[in-house]
Amino acid sequence: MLRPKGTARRNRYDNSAYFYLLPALLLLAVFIVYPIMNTLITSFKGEYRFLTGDFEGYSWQNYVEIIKDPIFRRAILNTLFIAFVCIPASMAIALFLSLILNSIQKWQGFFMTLFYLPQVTNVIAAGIVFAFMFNTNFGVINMILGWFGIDPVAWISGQGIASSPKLYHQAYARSLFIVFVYTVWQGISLKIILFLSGLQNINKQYYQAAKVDGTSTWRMIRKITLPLLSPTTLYVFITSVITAFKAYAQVVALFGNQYGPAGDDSKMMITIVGYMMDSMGDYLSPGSISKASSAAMILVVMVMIVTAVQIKISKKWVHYN
Amino acid sequence: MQVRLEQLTKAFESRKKDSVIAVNKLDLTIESGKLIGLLGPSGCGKSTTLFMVAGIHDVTDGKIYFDDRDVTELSADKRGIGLVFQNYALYPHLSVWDNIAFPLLNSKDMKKRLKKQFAEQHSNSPNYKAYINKLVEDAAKLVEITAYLDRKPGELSGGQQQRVAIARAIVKSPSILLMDEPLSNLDARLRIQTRDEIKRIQQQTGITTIMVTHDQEEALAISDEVIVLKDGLLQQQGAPQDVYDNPANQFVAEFISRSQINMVHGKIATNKLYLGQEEWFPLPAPLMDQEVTIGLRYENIKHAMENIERSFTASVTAKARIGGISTVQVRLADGQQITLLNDHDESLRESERLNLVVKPQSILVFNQKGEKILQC
Amino acid sequence: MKPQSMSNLFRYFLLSLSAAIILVPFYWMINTSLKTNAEILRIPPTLFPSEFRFQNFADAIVKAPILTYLLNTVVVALSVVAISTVVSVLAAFAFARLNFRGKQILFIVILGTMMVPQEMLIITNFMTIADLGWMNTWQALIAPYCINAFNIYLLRQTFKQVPDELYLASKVDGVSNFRFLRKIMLPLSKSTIVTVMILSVIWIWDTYAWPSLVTTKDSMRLVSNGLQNAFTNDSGRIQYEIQMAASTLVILPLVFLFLMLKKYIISGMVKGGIKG
Repeated sequence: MLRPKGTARRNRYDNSAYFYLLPALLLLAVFIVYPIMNTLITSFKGEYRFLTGDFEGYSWQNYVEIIKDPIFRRAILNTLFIAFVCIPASMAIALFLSLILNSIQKWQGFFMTLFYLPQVTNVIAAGIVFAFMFNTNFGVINMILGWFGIDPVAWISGQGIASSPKLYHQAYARSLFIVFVYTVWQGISLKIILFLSGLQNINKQYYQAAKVDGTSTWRMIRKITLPLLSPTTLYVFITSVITAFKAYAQVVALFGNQYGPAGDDSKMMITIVGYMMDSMGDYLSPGSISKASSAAMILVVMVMIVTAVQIKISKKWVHYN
Repeated sequence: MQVRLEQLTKAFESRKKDSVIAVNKLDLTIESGKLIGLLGPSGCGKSTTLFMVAGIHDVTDGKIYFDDRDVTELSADKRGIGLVFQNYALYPHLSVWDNIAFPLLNSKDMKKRLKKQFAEQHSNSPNYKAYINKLVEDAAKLVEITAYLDRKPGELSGGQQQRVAIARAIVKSPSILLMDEPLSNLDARLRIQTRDEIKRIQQQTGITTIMVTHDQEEALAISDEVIVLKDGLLQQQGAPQDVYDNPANQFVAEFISRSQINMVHGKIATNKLYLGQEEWFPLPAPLMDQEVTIGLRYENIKHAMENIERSFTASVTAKARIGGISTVQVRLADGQQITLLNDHDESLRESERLNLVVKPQSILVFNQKGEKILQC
Repeated sequence: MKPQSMSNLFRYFLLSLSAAIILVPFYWMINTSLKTNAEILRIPPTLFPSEFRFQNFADAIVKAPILTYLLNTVVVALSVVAISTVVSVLAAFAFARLNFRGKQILFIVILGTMMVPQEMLIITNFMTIADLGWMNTWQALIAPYCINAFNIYLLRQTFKQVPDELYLASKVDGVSNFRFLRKIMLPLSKSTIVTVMILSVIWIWDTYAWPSLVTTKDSMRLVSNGLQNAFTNDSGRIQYEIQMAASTLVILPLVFLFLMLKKYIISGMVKGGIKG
């Protein structure tokens, strides 16, 4: 030992750090860490009564029950649809637009501002606007389709779907489409900003070197830009997964608390978070809070699996320098 | 104030078990009021030593005394030092005035001290605020930046920023001024100017100053004393000219001469010194037979008119001229090349044979460990 | 082969077209909000109101307590911004600058919570709030939003970019940690602080699920909840022009706030970004 006893090392640890951390840690413990633990525990409680706190043992019962519930299955299906369509679509559009944005000199800030606007709206208000845009008679979408001679489409309509599976599926496809459009619109702003900041961090020398070699633009994008941008892409993907899997407010905004077009009573467009919210709203009936917890746990596990798989695969395509 | 280091040691813990020893049992005394150049190649532990004196790095072992006070365990702000960083560390959002005044206005201890000083001194200042302003302006005047007090650091040149950094360090009248590579971020022209400026400021204030540098020319030019470090070990301490003339070992000789020195292979056999394979001259005092390295500075090798004592012959292989300095390369009998100054810019022809002699007391003989065993 | 496969003009055309598509909802909302009820019912719809009916906004305010909701949202947003910024700045400073036991683990825990969907937390938070007897209170709306892992992360990244030497210089001068944070760190991180603040405002403005759980009274609801009320007339038909006027009232304040501060936000996002 080089340091004889008695000569304490100063400055090693700064205990005042805990005062700086105290408020954050307190809030973190109460509103984030404890809820995660508690949700996990509650999801296994049988016949849990919210008001008294009584329950009958721990089991997988809640999980079994919700998985058997056709509405929950629909919720999972819808959530997966939204995630697997909207994530690639919005990432591709955002990447494309930020590549163009990065290649222009003038008006970059102007376009960036416009592209950021969807981010600063209110999800419910914008959803109501979208619902109206898809209105059969008075909406702008049908008006534009009309310019091309296409007859008005009843976008948000549940007419006759209770008796006809064919009509039901058509209504379902149209509703999904609207959710996709709205979700992509909402999601691209942040992705454009993130991609653009990633692109601007790429050293210009790479491009200059490639230009000297006479490399084509497309080749440059494929061989230089995309590999160097890959850490950003991974980050965008992971945050998108989290956002997409918790889809809820946009559905409520478009379809209301019934999660479907007027005339539908099957909660056609419900999502996992929607299912959770409904169970929680019913908190007085025994077991409903623990069912909500099970749904939440399933959601978290799904997010974790997708993220883990992606991080694993990412080792093949993400280049850190 | 005198600074004394006793067995000062710093070990940095690394990820693996063994730690890296940056400074190794350093014993040093720096006399009050001196300007000291702490010199060495990068990684020699000079900045680490400076930061231990400053109180920014912990000490692994050993003691630091300021006069008779043990400050080893004292935190940086209690040591009464001023520190100038290599990159100046000016606060970019504050004006020059605010930067200089920052140490005076933002420490409780300092405020207490200043209030007391203000009360005691019955200075000319009408109030405390004016007193602070006077301190700031005095510091600014000393480093000659009074014209820029309202500017932000980003609007100043590198040399001006350096002056602000010095003003900020001396405004609190520290008893010791520490400077970490103060000139390394300046261009060559400014470096010489600023270096003389540092000398002037130090002399004007009389503050004991330690300046870390890797540039021996810088250190030699302005220091009262230089301290040479290598691998965390003290190599030599002394007045610049003395260290230059009498280097303690091969490392110091090479480092101080900035490669303007020939290191020629030779040997000692039966108390005679051999230059290469050629017998040169008998030793003034007996030494063991061994292989040696002989250090000969360019400027100490002269033409000899005739075959006098201790002279040797070599043939010209090349000539070079850089600015005002001309050099000649010559080959010894065994093929070793040495370089010397071509003082009078004589028109030497290639393969011309020269008779050379070395100035007395400037033949440096080192053993295989690089220790100096003879200087004659 | 040409060095550029897309001409400059074409790039601007593509960007303008995309921008136009992205802006359609805004246009349609404002367009509709200014029409008369009779004009709404015209088929096909008109691209521009034949006369401006500003009365729609007044009607929206009368029909649903939009102003109350807006006011509530502002109160909650300001409280959250104030508290969560202070909380995040303090924590980020500790992570960026100070040395303490458990730093690594705590930071990983905080980053880890960013992976958990907020929605998972509301079950227990709802129970906590109910247990505390906080239903229909301001603190129920504010408290859970005061901790934000992303803000801590973003600020820590920014603080880390302040050079070590500035901190050491101030230490030599006897400046306390808190004073250094206040006098040096904060002014140098202005754009990220503004970003963090506006992100908090957007978060509150957008929040829907939580307030609808912990408030039951109209007087305590936030804008998102208020908009849910359908704007129907006596015969049960939805009055789209009033619905759109209400949406405009909800969306525009945030858009203006963003336009005013966009310089800070964009540089703050890019700076904090995803480096390191």
